[in-house]
Amino acid sequence: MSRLIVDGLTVTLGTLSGPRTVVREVGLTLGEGETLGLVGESGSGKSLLWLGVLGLVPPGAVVTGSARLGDTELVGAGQGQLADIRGRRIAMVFQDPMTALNPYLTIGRQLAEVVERHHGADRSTARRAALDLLDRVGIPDAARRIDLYPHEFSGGMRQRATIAMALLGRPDILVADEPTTALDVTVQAQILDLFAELKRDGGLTQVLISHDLGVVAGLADRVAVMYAGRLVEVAGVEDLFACPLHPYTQGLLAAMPRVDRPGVDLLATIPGQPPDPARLPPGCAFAPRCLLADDGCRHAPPVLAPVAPGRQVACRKVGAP
Amino acid sequence: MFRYAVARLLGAIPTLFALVTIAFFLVRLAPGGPFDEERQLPPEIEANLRRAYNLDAPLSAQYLRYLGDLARGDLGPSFKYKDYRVAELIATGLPVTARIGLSALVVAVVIGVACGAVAALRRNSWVDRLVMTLAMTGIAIPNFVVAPALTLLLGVYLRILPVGGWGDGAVRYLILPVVALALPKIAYVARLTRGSLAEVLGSPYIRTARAKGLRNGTILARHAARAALLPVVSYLGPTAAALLTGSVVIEQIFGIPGLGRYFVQGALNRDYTLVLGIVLFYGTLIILLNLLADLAYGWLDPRVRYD
Amino acid sequence: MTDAAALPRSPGGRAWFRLRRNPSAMAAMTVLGLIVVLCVAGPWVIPHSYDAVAWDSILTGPDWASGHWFGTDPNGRDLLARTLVGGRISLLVGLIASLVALVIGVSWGAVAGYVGGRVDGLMMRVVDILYALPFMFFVILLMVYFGRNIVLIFVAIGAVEWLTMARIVRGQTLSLKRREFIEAARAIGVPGLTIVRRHIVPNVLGPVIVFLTLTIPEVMLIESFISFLGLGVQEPMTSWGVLISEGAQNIEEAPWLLLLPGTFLALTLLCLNLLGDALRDALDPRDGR
Repeated sequence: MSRLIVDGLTVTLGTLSGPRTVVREVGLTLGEGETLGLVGESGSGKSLLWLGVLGLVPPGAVVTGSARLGDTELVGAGQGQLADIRGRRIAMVFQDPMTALNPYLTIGRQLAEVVERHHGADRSTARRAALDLLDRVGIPDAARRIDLYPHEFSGGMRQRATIAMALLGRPDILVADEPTTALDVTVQAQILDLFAELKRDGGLTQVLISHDLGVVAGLADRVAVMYAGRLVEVAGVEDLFACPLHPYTQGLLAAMPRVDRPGVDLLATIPGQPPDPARLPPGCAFAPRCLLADDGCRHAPPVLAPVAPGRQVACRKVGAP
Repeated sequence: MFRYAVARLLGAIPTLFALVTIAFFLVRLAPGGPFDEERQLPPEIEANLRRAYNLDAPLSAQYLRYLGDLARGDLGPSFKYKDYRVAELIATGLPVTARIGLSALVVAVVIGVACGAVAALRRNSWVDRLVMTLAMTGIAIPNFVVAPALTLLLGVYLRILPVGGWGDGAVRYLILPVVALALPKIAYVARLTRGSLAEVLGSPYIRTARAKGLRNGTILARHAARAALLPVVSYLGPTAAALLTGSVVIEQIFGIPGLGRYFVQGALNRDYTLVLGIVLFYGTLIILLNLLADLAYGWLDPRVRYD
Repeated sequence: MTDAAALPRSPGGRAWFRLRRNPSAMAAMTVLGLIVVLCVAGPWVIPHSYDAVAWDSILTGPDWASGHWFGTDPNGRDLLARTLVGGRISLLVGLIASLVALVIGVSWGAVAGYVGGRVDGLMMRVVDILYALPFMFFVILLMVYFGRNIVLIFVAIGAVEWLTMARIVRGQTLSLKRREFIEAARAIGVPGLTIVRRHIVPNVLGPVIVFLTLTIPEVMLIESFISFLGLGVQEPMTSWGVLISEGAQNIEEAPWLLLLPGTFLALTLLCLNLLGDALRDALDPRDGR
């Protein structure tokens, strides 16, 4: 039973220099209780994909395609209807907890308002719920800290608070957008542990967005790789790491530092730069950086096609022997 | 917060001292004296007068004596309004000036914030362009041009409002001066509000609030309003000061018996003590208003610490 | 981004490029240029002189035949001529007083920011104290006591307006001081004053130009304010503030007396404010477009 089905989702931003399509024809299915890792370089459209699903794109942007949550179509839904879904059915955690929290309101206030909004709780009930959750996400001395302001929290505590805030609406799906990128390495590990714990508790569908394959490796059941606004590979996490099929995924993996391959070999890098998503080459977007690319790759864009059960790749060089 | 306020008040002492000193010597070093314009006084009478007002002492002694009187809260006697103390004159003018100034401040902030907010919420719409064009025009047209023009239109041609006078503070008499005084400030506050609200609405924490599913009204009232109003709050101190200054010319135009008129008349008459008293009074008021604005800012922004 | 190739490299060139694409800025510059040309050259061209008193044409309305195209004042003098000549004074006061403020403010701020430490603390304390004083009243006092002296107007207003400038320049200097190229200059032994003049001053030029553009209208406003109170320049010389004051006094019989100088002043202030805003946008380094 699927919970969220994204199909042909396209996001086009309206900028001063004209429209820019940053997410192209993305199709994804999120199963109940699974954890999906969404990986790609910055600018690959992985965050905007989710902002597009939730109708949080900046003014002037256009979202087309479809994103169905159960029986509800989210693309084109009214803001009132979307507001009932945001935070309640699908919650988001953002990258930088300093800017994502309102500096003028106490942590407790910002948490409690989610419960008030979505579960009709009165102030004191909402506050108790907020306190419980702060405790649960590992804020020490939560009873005192609940009345502090964001700037009085450390970076790690702030991110714990935003996660608590997202969980307070009791959502079905939690989308975490680079939740550890803005944090110190040691704190990153703690936050990832928290996500692992949430996964063990079960019931929650998670989407973990990251530019770092290492971050999603330990948590995700499945991994989707995005490049220049398109999905290029979707696979189970073991399959992906054991046998990456798309040349871009291979490059990403080769660029990862590995403890199981100690030695002096330098980290591989992918030559070149990701293209401007608004001005993609006519063929495969990765072709200019791809060692395997031939004229066919440069002329027609590949489609994301199943190559094995639960596995999709968008590359003409794969699955067509 | 209390300690900060006390510290700031203490910090204002050098400022006040500079104010007194500059004002005192500026007034005294000027050529001409308070008794120049009257009929040629017999020398002995003028000498008596000068002695009575302590004008025969060396300037430094006069200065010290003035400081001493000031420390006791005495602004001295007026030279021109015989039998009046300066404090009494200020007390008669102040309610008038304060009434105009405060009304203008309230009008400027309420209308300015409302217009600015509408413009920010409908950014790049025709409402936004209209408000911003009007605001720019409002800033560009000085109140001493607006005031006579409004008087002509509403007072002379349409005969809706009195063209001047005070009428013991009746609302009818207040409208024109307050509007003329407030107009440029409305424009400024509107621009300020639009800019800051637009910036706040684009900030990540507003996106978070939307991602939480909060309704637009809640987002605006609870999450955006405070941050958006901070620049307006910090602008209140200087605005109040500007309104006080502006009321000098407005009182002149409409013939309103406030402090500003006393000041101009006093300056022209070389009424040393009156001018000095009013300058000191205004200066102190401005310092206090700035302090109040700073305190309000700190109260609104939890990140500001006072230790 | 699409114009990356067309975008000039130097900051000044880039600002100018952006400014040229801003229609309101270009309109403001055109109108401003027109007003300046009119005020400078106009008085020689139009048929009447600004100080020719004519008792037979007192307070006449706008009239094409007589050559008094915009009417006459209570002394029968041509309003257009007086407005244009008054404009010279108003514009001159705006420009010179702003330059006075600029020179004092930039020097004060750059020195305070560059020297730093106790000197900085002291210099900025002075600015803080002066900031809190009701300067408009001092200016009025100065004008009352020392007569309607135009040089005094320049000095008095310039002395008031430099404070903000000093703060801006000090802030810029402080942040510049820690940048590598200043450190490098210091390391190779370039004298302090030379560093201030050659490296710091050019780098604070952007905000300074913006501030100058926005100070000129403010100064003109102060001058008009003073003139309106009857404390400005002396007859038969005039300025927009003086003319507006005369207009206000005769508003019922001759509204045109307020309208013409009022329009000139408001237009000039509007254009300068528009230009200042546009310059600020154009010089904003955060704006990549």
